Amino acid sequence: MIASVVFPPALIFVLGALLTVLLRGRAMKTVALLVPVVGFALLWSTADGSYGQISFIDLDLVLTRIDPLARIFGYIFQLITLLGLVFSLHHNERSHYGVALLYAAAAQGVTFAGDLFSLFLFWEVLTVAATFLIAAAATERARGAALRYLLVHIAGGLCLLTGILLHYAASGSIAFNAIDWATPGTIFILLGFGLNCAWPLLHTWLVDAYPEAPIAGTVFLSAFTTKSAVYVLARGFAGTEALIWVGAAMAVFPVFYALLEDNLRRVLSYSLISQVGYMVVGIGIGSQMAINGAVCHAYAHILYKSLLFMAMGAVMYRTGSCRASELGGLRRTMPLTACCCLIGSAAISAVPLFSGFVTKSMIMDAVAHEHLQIVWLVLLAASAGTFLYAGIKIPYFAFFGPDSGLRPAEAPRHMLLAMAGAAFMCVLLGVYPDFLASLMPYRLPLHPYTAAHVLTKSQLLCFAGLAFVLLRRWRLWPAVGAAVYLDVDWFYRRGALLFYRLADRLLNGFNAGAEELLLRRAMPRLVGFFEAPGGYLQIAGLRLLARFGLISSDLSATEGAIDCRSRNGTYPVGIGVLLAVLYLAVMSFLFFF
Amino acid sequence: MSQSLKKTPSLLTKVLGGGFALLVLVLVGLELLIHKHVAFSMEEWFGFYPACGLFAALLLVLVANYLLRPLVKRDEDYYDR
Repeated sequence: MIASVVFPPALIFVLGALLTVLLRGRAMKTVALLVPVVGFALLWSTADGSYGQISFIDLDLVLTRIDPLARIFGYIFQLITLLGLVFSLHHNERSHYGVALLYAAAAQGVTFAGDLFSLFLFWEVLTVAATFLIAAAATERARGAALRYLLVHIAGGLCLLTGILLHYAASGSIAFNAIDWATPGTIFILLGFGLNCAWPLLHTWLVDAYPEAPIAGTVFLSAFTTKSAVYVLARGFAGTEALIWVGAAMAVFPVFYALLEDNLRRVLSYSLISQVGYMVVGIGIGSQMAINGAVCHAYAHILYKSLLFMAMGAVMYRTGSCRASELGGLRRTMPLTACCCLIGSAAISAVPLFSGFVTKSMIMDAVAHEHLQIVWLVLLAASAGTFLYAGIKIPYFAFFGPDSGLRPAEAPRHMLLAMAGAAFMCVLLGVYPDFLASLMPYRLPLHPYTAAHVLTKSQLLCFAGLAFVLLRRWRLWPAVGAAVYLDVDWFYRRGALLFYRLADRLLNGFNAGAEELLLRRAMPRLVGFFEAPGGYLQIAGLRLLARFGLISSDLSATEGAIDCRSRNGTYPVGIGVLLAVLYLAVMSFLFFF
Repeated sequence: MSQSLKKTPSLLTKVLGGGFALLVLVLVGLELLIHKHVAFSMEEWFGFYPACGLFAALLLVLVANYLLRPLVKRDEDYYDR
């Protein structure tokens, strides 16, 4: 207990990140792998409670608050850090381990923050670390995606900060507990959380950036940002009814894109959003049963989604591509990767005896318990869709299906080890649900394996599979091939270009107009005027008087005389004197009136 | 070598196809034997879950392929131009 007063879990990871940057080679990798293990040991040996309370500029900060809800997220983040690091052992550059551990540290920090101020700090570290992880791919596309990721998340972070400040001003408390979302401050907080959670319309940063990141970076990315957002929503906004509808929309719309996409890592990115949608529905319902379901689904999801990203990463590592149109038949030379991928696919599709079956049914039961029939039907349809794109499409087009002729070597041993670890967990959670039941935030009985439940789920999946067979036979399945499928990011990717062109037209147009007006038109006239200013003024005055009929004599003769006088310099009053008189006249006018 | 590569999948496909057809039939048949605990009345209909799986999957794919795809598909270098 004393240890965790001195060492909040996040600090272990920060220290680990600093240490790995100082080391190199085998020592660096060993230290990196030890960090999550030490973190786990510390968390496991620490009782629930609040530690590390400090007062900072009149704010009561709680650096470590451990309760069952935070604990389960803490454990899974540590586990996935370990698996992700094992998977990335082919990296020799120090920056990779440093950034990955910093990213993991931020996820730990968000999970165990007891106040909104430290939560915000770790929230921003999440963004920065993720940006570097994405940009590490060092391709033009990855750099662009990383920059867009950073800009979008800075906007989200500022939204969150605005919300926290308004909330603090209104309530006087910085503590992070359940929040009533009816005030302006909390709406900003909710939006800030929602952006990291990839809510519909706020989601495109995810499908833009994750497929461009390096293969090992994606494993961490798929785990931390969205799931820490799920955690903060579960803590702060459980039972917010609007979330049910947000979650239902989130579960179903990515299915369409996932069915079309050719890049299998982008298919997985869309599928990630869809799965998080189930969790958001659970949080929106907010009953103990639903929160358990959302949290357990997050736990299982992190494992199977990173397993699938690892399998696609291994394929990309060996073949240089993860496009459905360029792969196929890899099971011949990558049988172990294919096997792990199939386990991940079974888990995400909620096949009985795999993790997704247990956790997804918890959410479905909670929805049915509240009699939300439309939401229930939407989620059921999304389950069928999930089986199509993740259960069938990904393994089929990569490892089975039409043979691409590629015969790559099996994945490296460290990658296989990481995949085997994640696959083992997917099966363990499926066959031994009591393991999850012991971690759930609320102690409720868990009986996923009733005959009726197993039967109905199997029927749903089998007939979705039948639909795939029929669609392939009737040639109605979307053709694979390289393409861009426009999403909401069109508005800012094309919008930025439009803004650039508009600004170009407007500002440069103004510039050109001003040049034309001042330099080309006004200047010559001024120069002309100052050739004989006194004469011109007199002539103008004369014409004015003539127009009002005050002078009747011959105007042109007088004008000729004035012109002649001023051009020959025989004008009785000097120009300087004339200007001085005019100036005095104006000043006295201003003074008297 | 190339012949055996060509032959093996076809046999495999047959076995898998047969097994799959059997599984589909067994699953539908089992519904007569197992009592479903229902939350919604529509769950009681015979063949609700099979129909739901089949038609949801068909609908999702057809909507994606024939409604969404023509709207949003662009060349691969769309954003690079």
